Amino acid sequence: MDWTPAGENALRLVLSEHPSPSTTQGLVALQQEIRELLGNAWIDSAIGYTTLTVFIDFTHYPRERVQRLLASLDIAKITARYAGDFFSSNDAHVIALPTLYSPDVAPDLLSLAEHKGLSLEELIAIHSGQVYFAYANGFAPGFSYLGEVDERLAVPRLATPRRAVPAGSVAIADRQTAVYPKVSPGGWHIIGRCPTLLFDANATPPTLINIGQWVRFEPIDCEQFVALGGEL
Amino acid sequence: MTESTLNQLIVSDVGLLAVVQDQGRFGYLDSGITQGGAIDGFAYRLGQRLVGNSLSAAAIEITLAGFRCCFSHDTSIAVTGADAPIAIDGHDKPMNTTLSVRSGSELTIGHSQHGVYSYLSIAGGVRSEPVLGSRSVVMRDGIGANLCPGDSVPYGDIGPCLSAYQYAAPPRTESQLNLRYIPGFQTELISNAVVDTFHNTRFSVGHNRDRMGIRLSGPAVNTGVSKLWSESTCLGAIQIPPDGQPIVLLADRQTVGGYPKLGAVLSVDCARLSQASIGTPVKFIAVDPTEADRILWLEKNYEAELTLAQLRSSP
Repeated sequence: MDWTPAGENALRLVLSEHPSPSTTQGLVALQQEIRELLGNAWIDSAIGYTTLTVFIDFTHYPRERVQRLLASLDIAKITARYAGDFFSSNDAHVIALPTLYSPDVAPDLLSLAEHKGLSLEELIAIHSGQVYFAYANGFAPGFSYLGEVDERLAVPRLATPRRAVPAGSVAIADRQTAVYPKVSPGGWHIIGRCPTLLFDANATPPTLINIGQWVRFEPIDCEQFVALGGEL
Repeated sequence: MTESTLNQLIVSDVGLLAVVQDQGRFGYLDSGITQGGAIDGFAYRLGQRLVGNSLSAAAIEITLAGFRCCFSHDTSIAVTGADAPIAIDGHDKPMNTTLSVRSGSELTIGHSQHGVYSYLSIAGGVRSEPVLGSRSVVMRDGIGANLCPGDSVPYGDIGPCLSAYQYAAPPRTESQLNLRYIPGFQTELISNAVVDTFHNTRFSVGHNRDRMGIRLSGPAVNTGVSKLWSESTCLGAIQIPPDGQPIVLLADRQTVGGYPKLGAVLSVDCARLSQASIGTPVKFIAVDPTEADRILWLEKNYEAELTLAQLRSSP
Protein backbone atom coordinates (compact mmCIF):
# COMPACT_ATOMS: atom_id res chain seq x y z
CA MET A 1 0.00 0.00 0.00
CA ASP A 2 1.52 3.28 -1.12
CA TRP A 3 0.84 6.91 -0.39
CA THR A 4 0.44 8.70 -3.71
CA PRO A 5 0.20 12.44 -4.30
CA ALA A 6 -3.31 13.78 -4.82
CA GLY A 7 -2.35 17.45 -4.97
CA GLU A 8 0.43 19.77 -3.82
CA ASN A 9 -0.42 19.23 -0.15
CA ALA A 10 -2.27 15.91 -0.24
CA LEU A 11 -1.29 12.26 -0.03
CA ARG A 12 -3.75 9.46 -0.61
CA LEU A 13 -3.85 5.82 0.41
CA VAL A 14 -6.14 3.26 -1.21
CA LEU A 15 -6.85 0.77 1.54
CA SER A 16 -8.99 -1.69 -0.37
CA GLU A 17 -10.41 -2.23 -3.84
CA HIS A 18 -14.01 -2.35 -2.63
CA PRO A 19 -15.82 -0.51 0.15
CA SER A 20 -17.00 -2.35 3.24
CA PRO A 21 -17.68 -1.38 6.86
CA SER A 22 -14.39 -2.98 7.89
CA THR A 23 -12.48 -0.96 5.27
CA THR A 24 -14.08 2.26 6.55
CA GLN A 25 -13.37 1.32 10.17
CA GLY A 26 -9.75 0.73 9.20
CA LEU A 27 -9.65 4.14 7.53
CA VAL A 28 -11.07 5.82 10.66
CA ALA A 29 -8.45 4.11 12.86
CA LEU A 30 -5.69 5.09 10.45
CA GLN A 31 -6.94 8.67 10.29
CA GLN A 32 -6.82 9.03 14.09
CA GLU A 33 -3.30 7.58 14.25
CA ILE A 34 -2.01 9.85 11.48
CA ARG A 35 -3.51 12.98 12.98
CA GLU A 36 -1.56 12.34 16.18
CA LEU A 37 1.59 11.34 14.32
CA LEU A 38 1.70 14.46 12.14
CA GLY A 39 0.84 17.02 14.80
CA ASN A 40 1.05 20.53 13.39
CA ALA A 41 1.92 19.25 9.92
CA TRP A 42 -1.65 17.90 9.69
CA ILE A 43 -4.04 20.31 7.95
CA ASP A 44 -7.08 18.11 7.32
CA SER A 45 -7.99 14.62 6.20
CA ALA A 46 -10.94 12.99 4.51
CA ILE A 47 -12.23 9.46 4.20
CA GLY A 48 -13.65 8.23 0.91
CA TYR A 49 -15.25 4.84 0.24
CA THR A 50 -11.89 3.08 -0.08
CA THR A 51 -9.38 5.89 0.45
CA LEU A 52 -7.87 8.18 3.04
CA THR A 53 -6.60 11.56 1.84
CA VAL A 54 -4.36 13.50 4.21
CA PHE A 55 -3.62 17.21 3.72
CA ILE A 56 -0.17 18.15 4.96
CA ASP A 57 1.67 21.44 5.42
CA PHE A 58 4.68 20.72 3.21
CA THR A 59 5.72 24.38 3.35
CA HIS A 60 6.82 23.86 6.97
CA TYR A 61 7.42 20.09 7.11
CA PRO A 62 9.64 18.62 4.38
CA ARG A 63 7.87 16.09 2.18
CA GLU A 64 10.62 13.50 2.59
CA ARG A 65 10.38 13.55 6.37
CA VAL A 66 6.59 13.24 6.33
CA GLN A 67 6.76 10.41 3.82
CA ARG A 68 9.29 8.58 5.99
CA LEU A 69 6.95 8.96 8.97
CA LEU A 70 3.98 7.65 7.00
CA ALA A 71 6.01 4.77 5.60
CA SER A 72 6.90 3.73 9.14
CA LEU A 73 3.24 3.08 10.00
CA ASP A 74 2.15 -0.52 10.36
CA ILE A 75 -1.07 -0.10 8.44
CA ALA A 76 -2.29 -3.66 8.85
CA LYS A 77 -1.89 -3.42 12.63
CA ILE A 78 -3.58 -0.02 12.91
CA THR A 79 -6.52 -0.85 10.67
CA ALA A 80 -7.12 -4.07 12.61
CA ARG A 81 -7.56 -2.08 15.83
CA TYR A 82 -11.22 -1.07 15.82
CA ALA A 83 -12.21 1.69 18.17
CA GLY A 84 -14.69 -0.42 20.13
CA ASP A 85 -18.18 0.85 20.88
CA PHE A 86 -18.11 3.70 18.41
CA PHE A 87 -18.38 1.18 15.60
CA SER A 88 -20.85 -1.15 17.20
CA SER A 89 -24.02 -2.02 15.34
CA ASN A 90 -25.57 -3.06 18.65
CA ASP A 91 -28.83 -1.27 19.27
CA ALA A 92 -27.45 0.99 22.01
CA HIS A 93 -24.95 2.65 19.65
CA VAL A 94 -27.10 2.98 16.57
CA ILE A 95 -28.23 6.53 15.77
CA ALA A 96 -32.01 6.52 15.46
CA LEU A 97 -33.50 8.86 12.88
CA PRO A 98 -37.25 9.32 13.39
CA THR A 99 -38.83 9.42 9.95
CA LEU A 100 -42.27 10.36 8.71
CA TYR A 101 -42.98 8.19 5.66
CA SER A 102 -45.91 10.02 4.08
CA PRO A 103 -46.79 11.18 0.56
CA ASP A 104 -47.45 14.62 2.13
CA VAL A 105 -43.71 15.13 2.65
CA ALA A 106 -42.28 12.57 0.21
CA PRO A 107 -43.15 13.12 -3.46
CA ASP A 108 -41.54 9.85 -4.64
CA LEU A 109 -42.92 7.51 -1.96
CA LEU A 110 -45.98 6.23 -3.82
CA SER A 111 -44.35 6.10 -7.24
CA LEU A 112 -41.38 4.15 -5.90
CA ALA A 113 -43.65 1.65 -4.13
CA GLU A 114 -45.65 1.21 -7.32
CA HIS A 115 -42.53 0.91 -9.48
CA LYS A 116 -41.14 -1.76 -7.14
CA GLY A 117 -44.45 -3.63 -6.82
CA LEU A 118 -44.57 -3.04 -3.09
CA SER A 119 -47.27 -1.77 -0.77
CA LEU A 120 -46.51 1.39 1.19
CA GLU A 121 -46.26 -0.69 4.39
CA GLU A 122 -43.82 -3.11 2.76
CA LEU A 123 -41.59 -0.31 1.50
CA ILE A 124 -41.49 1.34 4.94
CA ALA A 125 -40.82 -2.01 6.64
CA ILE A 126 -37.90 -2.71 4.29
CA HIS A 127 -36.31 0.75 4.60
CA SER A 128 -36.70 0.96 8.38
CA GLY A 129 -36.02 -2.72 9.04
CA GLN A 130 -32.23 -2.65 8.89
CA VAL A 131 -29.24 -0.64 10.07
CA TYR A 132 -27.16 1.43 7.66
CA PHE A 133 -23.48 2.23 7.76
CA ALA A 134 -22.07 5.78 7.26
CA TYR A 135 -19.43 5.34 4.54
CA ALA A 136 -18.69 8.99 3.85
CA ASN A 137 -19.86 12.54 4.51
CA GLY A 138 -19.99 15.08 1.74
CA PHE A 139 -22.19 16.91 -0.77
CA ALA A 140 -23.25 19.27 2.04
CA PRO A 141 -22.34 19.66 5.73
CA GLY A 142 -23.96 16.77 7.59
CA PHE A 143 -24.92 14.78 4.48
CA SER A 144 -23.97 11.12 5.11
CA TYR A 145 -23.85 8.44 2.45
CA LEU A 146 -25.57 5.48 4.14
CA GLY A 147 -25.58 1.93 2.82
CA GLU A 148 -26.53 -0.55 1.75
CA VAL A 149 -30.18 -0.21 0.83
CA ASP A 150 -32.06 -3.48 0.27
CA GLU A 151 -31.96 -4.48 -3.39
CA ARG A 152 -35.78 -4.41 -3.50
CA LEU A 153 -35.67 -0.61 -3.05
CA ALA A 154 -32.64 0.22 -5.21
CA VAL A 155 -33.47 2.84 -7.85
CA PRO A 156 -31.34 5.06 -10.13
CA ARG A 157 -31.22 8.82 -9.52
CA LEU A 158 -33.97 11.02 -11.01
CA ALA A 159 -33.30 11.92 -14.65
CA THR A 160 -33.75 15.59 -13.74
CA PRO A 161 -32.63 16.61 -10.26
CA ARG A 162 -34.99 18.82 -8.22
CA ARG A 163 -33.86 22.39 -7.71
CA ALA A 164 -34.85 22.43 -4.07
CA VAL A 165 -35.26 19.38 -1.84
CA PRO A 166 -36.68 20.32 1.60
CA ALA A 167 -34.45 19.98 4.68
CA GLY A 168 -34.82 16.61 6.39
CA SER A 169 -35.84 14.75 3.23
CA VAL A 170 -35.00 11.03 3.48
CA ALA A 171 -34.00 9.74 0.08
CA ILE A 172 -32.72 6.76 -1.89
CA ALA A 173 -30.36 6.49 -4.88
CA ASP A 174 -29.01 3.15 -6.09
CA ARG A 175 -28.23 1.22 -2.93
CA GLN A 176 -27.58 4.33 -0.83
CA THR A 177 -29.86 6.30 1.42
CA ALA A 178 -29.38 9.71 3.04
CA VAL A 179 -31.04 12.65 4.74
CA TYR A 180 -30.67 16.11 3.21
CA PRO A 181 -29.54 18.29 6.16
CA LYS A 182 -30.77 21.51 4.57
CA VAL A 183 -32.63 22.72 1.50
CA SER A 184 -30.51 21.89 -1.53
CA PRO A 185 -30.78 20.68 -5.09
CA GLY A 186 -31.05 16.89 -5.24
CA GLY A 187 -31.59 13.96 -7.59
CA TRP A 188 -32.42 11.22 -5.08
CA HIS A 189 -35.92 9.72 -4.63
CA ILE A 190 -37.59 11.25 -1.57
CA ILE A 191 -39.44 8.70 0.58
CA GLY A 192 -39.79 10.46 3.93
CA ARG A 193 -38.78 13.31 6.19
CA CYS A 194 -36.72 13.38 9.38
CA PRO A 195 -37.10 16.24 11.91
CA THR A 196 -33.67 15.69 13.52
CA LEU A 197 -31.00 18.38 13.16
CA LEU A 198 -28.04 16.78 11.35
CA PHE A 199 -25.63 19.69 11.26
CA ASP A 200 -24.96 22.32 13.92
CA ALA A 201 -21.88 24.48 13.49
CA ASN A 202 -21.85 25.16 17.26
CA ALA A 203 -21.77 21.47 18.24
CA THR A 204 -18.67 19.28 18.61
CA PRO A 205 -18.50 17.47 16.30
CA PRO A 206 -20.81 19.59 14.12
CA THR A 207 -22.38 16.53 12.49
CA LEU A 208 -24.78 14.07 14.14
CA ILE A 209 -23.69 11.15 11.94
CA ASN A 210 -19.98 10.52 11.70
CA ILE A 211 -18.17 8.20 9.33
CA GLY A 212 -18.14 4.62 10.61
CA GLN A 213 -21.31 4.93 12.69
CA TRP A 214 -24.51 2.94 12.23
CA VAL A 215 -27.91 4.49 11.63
CA ARG A 216 -31.50 3.26 11.74
CA PHE A 217 -34.69 4.93 10.47
CA GLU A 218 -37.67 4.77 12.84
CA PRO A 219 -41.17 5.31 11.41
CA ILE A 220 -43.16 8.03 13.20
CA ASP A 221 -46.57 9.57 12.57
CA CYS A 222 -47.50 13.20 11.84
CA GLU A 223 -48.10 14.05 15.49
CA GLN A 224 -44.72 12.71 16.59
CA PHE A 225 -43.08 14.47 13.66
CA VAL A 226 -44.48 17.83 14.74
CA ALA A 227 -43.69 17.14 18.42
CA LEU A 228 -40.07 16.52 17.44
CA GLY A 229 -39.91 19.93 15.79
CA GLY A 230 -40.76 18.88 12.24
CA GLU A 231 -42.55 21.32 9.98
CA LEU A 232 -45.22 20.08 7.60
CA MET B 1 -19.28 48.10 24.02
CA THR B 2 -22.57 49.06 22.47
CA GLU B 3 -23.11 48.36 18.83
CA SER B 4 -23.05 52.02 17.83
CA THR B 5 -19.43 52.38 18.95
CA LEU B 6 -18.24 49.47 16.79
CA ASN B 7 -16.21 50.28 13.73
CA GLN B 8 -18.44 49.36 10.84
CA LEU B 9 -18.54 49.67 7.13
CA ILE B 10 -21.99 50.20 5.74
CA VAL B 11 -22.55 48.56 2.40
CA SER B 12 -24.65 50.40 -0.18
CA ASP B 13 -23.88 48.46 -3.39
CA VAL B 14 -22.55 44.90 -3.81
CA GLY B 15 -22.39 44.49 -7.58
CA LEU B 16 -22.57 40.84 -8.65
CA LEU B 17 -21.45 39.29 -5.36
CA ALA B 18 -19.55 40.37 -2.26
CA VAL B 19 -18.64 37.94 0.54
CA VAL B 20 -16.32 37.88 3.53
CA GLN B 21 -13.34 35.54 3.01
CA ASP B 22 -10.19 34.63 4.89
CA GLN B 23 -7.70 31.84 4.25
CA GLY B 24 -10.42 29.18 4.59
CA ARG B 25 -11.77 26.58 6.98
CA PHE B 26 -9.66 23.52 7.75
CA GLY B 27 -10.18 20.34 9.73
CA TYR B 28 -13.83 19.66 8.84
CA LEU B 29 -13.70 17.87 5.49
CA ASP B 30 -15.10 14.70 7.09
CA SER B 31 -18.17 16.65 8.16
CA GLY B 32 -18.70 17.60 4.52
CA ILE B 33 -17.53 21.17 5.10
CA THR B 34 -15.56 22.63 2.23
CA GLN B 35 -12.32 24.60 2.56
CA GLY B 36 -13.61 27.90 1.18
CA GLY B 37 -11.42 30.99 1.54
CA ALA B 38 -10.19 33.67 -0.83
CA ILE B 39 -10.12 32.35 -4.41
CA ASP B 40 -7.05 34.45 -5.33
CA GLY B 41 -4.83 33.76 -2.32
CA PHE B 42 -2.04 35.98 -3.64
CA ALA B 43 -4.22 39.09 -3.97
CA TYR B 44 -5.83 38.39 -0.61
CA ARG B 45 -2.50 38.08 1.24
CA LEU B 46 -1.09 41.15 -0.54
CA GLY B 47 -4.06 43.16 0.72
CA GLN B 48 -3.51 42.00 4.30
CA ARG B 49 0.16 43.00 4.13
CA LEU B 50 -0.65 46.46 2.76
CA VAL B 51 -2.82 47.25 5.79
CA GLY B 52 -0.51 45.56 8.30
CA ASN B 53 -2.79 42.63 9.14
CA SER B 54 -1.85 39.06 9.92
CA LEU B 55 -2.13 36.91 6.79
CA SER B 56 -5.20 35.19 8.19
CA ALA B 57 -7.36 38.29 8.72
CA ALA B 58 -10.66 38.47 6.85
CA ALA B 59 -11.31 40.64 3.78
CA ILE B 60 -14.25 41.30 1.49
CA GLU B 61 -14.08 39.44 -1.82
CA ILE B 62 -15.88 41.27 -4.60
CA THR B 63 -16.80 39.51 -7.85
CA LEU B 64 -16.55 41.67 -10.99
CA ALA B 65 -16.86 44.79 -8.85
CA GLY B 66 -19.52 47.45 -8.60
CA PHE B 67 -19.06 47.78 -4.82
CA ARG B 68 -19.79 50.80 -2.64
CA CYS B 69 -19.55 51.34 1.12
CA CYS B 70 -19.03 53.94 3.88
CA PHE B 71 -16.74 53.71 6.91
CA SER B 72 -17.83 54.66 10.45
CA HIS B 73 -14.30 55.37 11.77
CA ASP B 74 -10.91 56.46 10.39
CA THR B 75 -8.90 53.52 9.13
CA SER B 76 -6.64 52.26 6.32
CA ILE B 77 -7.73 50.06 3.46
CA ALA B 78 -6.28 48.47 0.32
CA VAL B 79 -7.91 47.07 -2.80
CA THR B 80 -6.10 44.24 -4.57
CA GLY B 81 -6.88 41.59 -7.18
CA ALA B 82 -8.85 42.42 -10.33
CA ASP B 83 -7.97 45.73 -12.04
CA ALA B 84 -10.83 48.03 -11.18
CA PRO B 85 -11.17 51.81 -10.84
CA ILE B 86 -11.27 52.89 -7.19
CA ALA B 87 -12.45 56.18 -5.73
CA ILE B 88 -12.74 57.58 -2.21
CA ASP B 89 -15.27 60.41 -1.90
CA GLY B 90 -15.15 60.78 -5.68
CA HIS B 91 -11.34 61.04 -5.96
CA ASP B 92 -9.54 58.36 -8.00
CA LYS B 93 -7.15 56.21 -5.99
CA PRO B 94 -4.57 53.57 -6.94
CA MET B 95 -4.95 49.83 -6.44
CA ASN B 96 -2.44 47.78 -4.44
CA THR B 97 -1.83 50.73 -2.11
CA THR B 98 -2.45 51.55 1.56
CA LEU B 99 -5.21 54.18 1.46
CA SER B 100 -6.56 56.35 4.28
CA VAL B 101 -10.28 56.66 4.79
CA ARG B 102 -11.99 59.01 7.24
CA SER B 103 -15.10 58.49 9.26
CA GLY B 104 -17.94 58.91 6.75
CA SER B 105 -15.74 58.37 3.66
CA GLU B 106 -17.35 56.57 0.75
CA LEU B 107 -15.39 53.96 -1.23
CA THR B 108 -16.45 52.89 -4.69
CA ILE B 109 -14.95 50.02 -6.67
CA GLY B 110 -16.00 50.13 -10.31
CA HIS B 111 -16.25 47.38 -12.90
CA SER B 112 -13.07 45.39 -13.38
CA GLN B 113 -11.15 45.73 -16.62
CA HIS B 114 -9.00 42.65 -16.03
CA GLY B 115 -9.67 39.90 -13.60
CA VAL B 116 -12.69 38.72 -11.68
CA TYR B 117 -12.05 38.92 -7.92
CA SER B 118 -11.13 42.08 -5.97
CA TYR B 119 -10.25 42.16 -2.27
CA LEU B 120 -11.05 44.99 0.11
CA SER B 121 -8.71 44.70 3.09
CA ILE B 122 -9.14 46.86 6.20
CA ALA B 123 -6.66 47.54 9.02
CA GLY B 124 -7.64 45.23 11.88
CA GLY B 125 -9.54 42.94 9.53
CA VAL B 126 -13.23 42.29 8.94
CA ARG B 127 -14.70 41.07 12.24
CA SER B 128 -17.77 39.13 11.22
CA GLU B 129 -18.72 36.19 13.45
CA PRO B 130 -16.40 33.20 12.83
CA VAL B 131 -17.93 29.76 12.19
CA LEU B 132 -15.76 26.71 12.94
CA GLY B 133 -12.60 28.76 13.10
CA SER B 134 -13.06 30.84 9.96
CA ARG B 135 -14.99 33.85 8.69
CA SER B 136 -15.12 32.47 5.13
CA VAL B 137 -18.64 32.46 3.74
CA VAL B 138 -19.84 29.35 1.90
CA MET B 139 -23.18 30.41 0.50
CA ARG B 140 -24.13 26.97 -0.84
CA ASP B 141 -23.78 25.48 2.65
CA GLY B 142 -25.51 28.33 4.49
CA ILE B 143 -22.28 29.20 6.35
CA GLY B 144 -22.48 32.97 6.55
CA ALA B 145 -24.23 34.96 3.85
CA ASN B 146 -23.44 37.24 0.93
CA LEU B 147 -23.45 40.97 1.69
CA CYS B 148 -26.54 42.97 0.78
CA PRO B 149 -27.05 46.74 0.45
CA GLY B 150 -27.73 48.13 3.94
CA ASP B 151 -25.60 45.53 5.74
CA SER B 152 -23.06 46.78 8.25
CA VAL B 153 -19.84 44.82 8.64
CA PRO B 154 -17.69 45.27 11.77
CA TYR B 155 -13.98 45.89 11.35
CA GLY B 156 -11.01 46.07 13.74
CA ASP B 157 -10.66 49.26 15.78
CA ILE B 158 -6.89 49.61 15.48
CA GLY B 159 -7.17 52.87 13.52
CA PRO B 160 -5.22 53.96 10.43
CA CYS B 161 -1.84 52.42 9.57
CA LEU B 162 1.26 54.48 10.45
CA SER B 163 2.95 53.71 7.13
CA ALA B 164 1.59 53.43 3.63
CA TYR B 165 2.90 51.01 1.01
CA GLN B 166 2.42 50.37 -2.66
CA TYR B 167 2.98 47.25 -4.71
CA ALA B 168 3.86 47.74 -8.36
CA ALA B 169 2.21 44.81 -10.10
CA PRO B 170 4.21 43.51 -13.08
CA PRO B 171 2.56 44.27 -16.43
CA ARG B 172 0.24 41.58 -17.75
CA THR B 173 2.02 39.67 -20.49
CA GLU B 174 0.46 36.26 -20.47
CA SER B 175 -1.68 35.38 -23.43
CA GLN B 176 -1.80 31.73 -22.46
CA LEU B 177 -2.21 30.34 -18.99
CA ASN B 178 0.09 27.41 -18.18
CA LEU B 179 -1.40 25.40 -15.35
CA ARG B 180 1.16 23.27 -13.57
CA TYR B 181 -0.38 20.19 -12.00
CA ILE B 182 0.62 17.09 -10.06
CA PRO B 183 -0.65 13.93 -11.76
CA GLY B 184 -2.80 11.88 -9.37
CA PHE B 185 -2.85 8.14 -8.82
CA GLN B 186 -5.84 7.76 -11.14
CA THR B 187 -3.57 8.71 -14.04
CA GLU B 188 -2.43 5.07 -13.92
CA LEU B 189 -5.94 4.07 -14.97
CA ILE B 190 -5.82 6.34 -18.00
CA SER B 191 -3.87 5.42 -21.15
CA ASN B 192 -0.66 7.31 -21.97
CA ALA B 193 -2.12 8.37 -25.32
CA VAL B 194 -5.02 10.12 -23.56
CA VAL B 195 -2.64 11.85 -21.12
CA ASP B 196 -0.37 12.94 -24.02
CA THR B 197 -3.34 14.38 -25.89
CA PHE B 198 -4.42 16.17 -22.71
CA HIS B 199 -0.98 17.81 -22.45
CA ASN B 200 -1.01 18.86 -26.10
CA THR B 201 -4.50 20.33 -26.04
CA ARG B 202 -5.21 24.02 -25.72
CA PHE B 203 -8.34 24.43 -23.67
CA SER B 204 -10.06 27.71 -22.98
CA VAL B 205 -11.73 29.16 -19.91
CA GLY B 206 -15.47 28.53 -20.24
CA HIS B 207 -18.55 30.52 -19.20
CA ASN B 208 -19.45 28.12 -16.45
CA ARG B 209 -17.49 29.28 -13.44
CA ASP B 210 -17.95 30.13 -9.81
CA ARG B 211 -16.21 29.66 -6.48
CA MET B 212 -16.68 25.88 -6.76
CA GLY B 213 -14.80 25.47 -10.00
CA ILE B 214 -14.10 26.54 -13.54
CA ARG B 215 -15.14 24.52 -16.57
CA LEU B 216 -12.76 24.52 -19.51
CA SER B 217 -13.79 23.92 -23.08
CA GLY B 218 -11.92 22.03 -25.73
CA PRO B 219 -11.87 18.63 -27.40
CA ALA B 220 -13.43 16.05 -25.07
CA VAL B 221 -11.01 14.11 -22.86
CA ASN B 222 -12.05 10.48 -22.94
CA THR B 223 -10.52 8.92 -19.83
CA GLY B 224 -12.08 5.50 -20.47
CA VAL B 225 -12.72 5.36 -16.73
CA SER B 226 -16.32 5.14 -15.60
CA LYS B 227 -17.12 3.93 -12.11
CA LEU B 228 -14.90 5.19 -9.29
CA TRP B 229 -15.54 5.09 -5.58
CA SER B 230 -16.11 8.64 -4.31
CA GLU B 231 -13.07 10.10 -2.61
CA SER B 232 -11.86 13.40 -1.22
CA THR B 233 -11.34 16.22 -3.71
CA CYS B 234 -8.33 18.57 -3.59
CA LEU B 235 -7.92 22.22 -4.47
CA GLY B 236 -7.18 22.36 -8.19
CA ALA B 237 -8.39 18.81 -8.92
CA ILE B 238 -8.86 18.32 -12.67
CA GLN B 239 -12.14 16.48 -12.86
CA ILE B 240 -13.32 14.88 -16.09
CA PRO B 241 -17.11 14.52 -16.13
CA PRO B 242 -18.82 12.27 -18.73
CA ASP B 243 -18.88 15.07 -21.36
CA GLY B 244 -15.04 15.17 -21.31
CA GLN B 245 -14.77 18.92 -20.58
CA PRO B 246 -12.36 19.34 -17.64
CA ILE B 247 -13.45 21.18 -14.50
CA VAL B 248 -10.75 22.62 -12.23
CA LEU B 249 -12.09 22.53 -8.67
CA LEU B 250 -11.57 25.63 -6.52
CA ALA B 251 -12.07 26.77 -2.91
CA ASP B 252 -15.80 25.99 -2.52
CA ARG B 253 -15.62 22.55 -4.22
CA GLN B 254 -17.67 19.61 -2.98
CA THR B 255 -15.61 17.66 -0.47
CA VAL B 256 -16.05 14.27 -2.15
CA GLY B 257 -16.52 13.27 -5.76
CA GLY B 258 -16.49 10.22 -7.97
CA TYR B 259 -15.51 11.63 -11.38
CA PRO B 260 -12.11 10.60 -12.77
CA LYS B 261 -9.34 13.08 -12.03
CA LEU B 262 -6.08 13.62 -13.88
CA GLY B 263 -4.38 15.36 -10.98
CA ALA B 264 -4.47 18.70 -9.20
CA VAL B 265 -3.34 22.16 -10.33
CA LEU B 266 -0.94 23.98 -7.98
CA SER B 267 -2.61 26.54 -5.69
CA VAL B 268 -0.63 29.44 -7.17
CA ASP B 269 -1.91 28.56 -10.64
CA CYS B 270 -5.47 28.09 -9.35
CA ALA B 271 -5.27 31.72 -8.18
CA ARG B 272 -4.20 32.87 -11.66
CA LEU B 273 -6.88 30.74 -13.32
CA SER B 274 -9.55 32.25 -11.06
CA GLN B 275 -8.74 35.74 -12.44
CA ALA B 276 -8.62 34.63 -16.12
CA SER B 277 -11.29 35.99 -18.42
CA ILE B 278 -13.58 33.77 -20.44
CA GLY B 279 -11.85 32.44 -23.55
CA THR B 280 -8.30 32.62 -22.12
CA PRO B 281 -6.26 29.75 -23.62
CA VAL B 282 -5.11 27.19 -21.06
CA LYS B 283 -2.51 24.43 -21.17
CA PHE B 284 -1.68 21.81 -18.57
CA ILE B 285 1.90 20.98 -17.61
CA ALA B 286 2.67 18.01 -15.36
CA VAL B 287 5.19 18.55 -12.55
CA ASP B 288 6.36 16.02 -9.97
CA PRO B 289 5.73 16.66 -6.25
CA THR B 290 9.35 17.63 -5.52
CA GLU B 291 9.27 20.22 -8.26
CA ALA B 292 5.91 21.46 -6.95
CA ASP B 293 7.47 21.90 -3.49
CA ARG B 294 10.28 23.96 -5.05
CA ILE B 295 7.84 26.12 -7.05
CA LEU B 296 5.72 26.79 -3.97
CA TRP B 297 8.77 27.54 -1.83
CA LEU B 298 9.98 30.08 -4.39
CA GLU B 299 6.53 31.66 -4.67
CA LYS B 300 6.24 31.88 -0.90
CA ASN B 301 9.60 33.62 -0.63
CA TYR B 302 8.80 35.88 -3.54
CA GLU B 303 5.60 36.89 -1.79
CA ALA B 304 7.27 37.40 1.59
CA GLU B 305 10.01 39.56 0.09
CA LEU B 306 7.76 41.33 -2.36
CA THR B 307 8.98 44.84 -2.78
CA LEU B 308 6.41 47.11 -1.25
CA ALA B 309 7.50 50.67 -1.79
CA GLN B 310 6.97 52.81 1.29
CA LEU B 311 5.12 56.00 0.47
CA ARG B 312 5.88 59.38 2.08
CA SER B 313 2.27 59.90 2.96
CA SER B 314 -0.85 57.89 2.45
CA PRO B 315 -2.57 58.83 -0.82
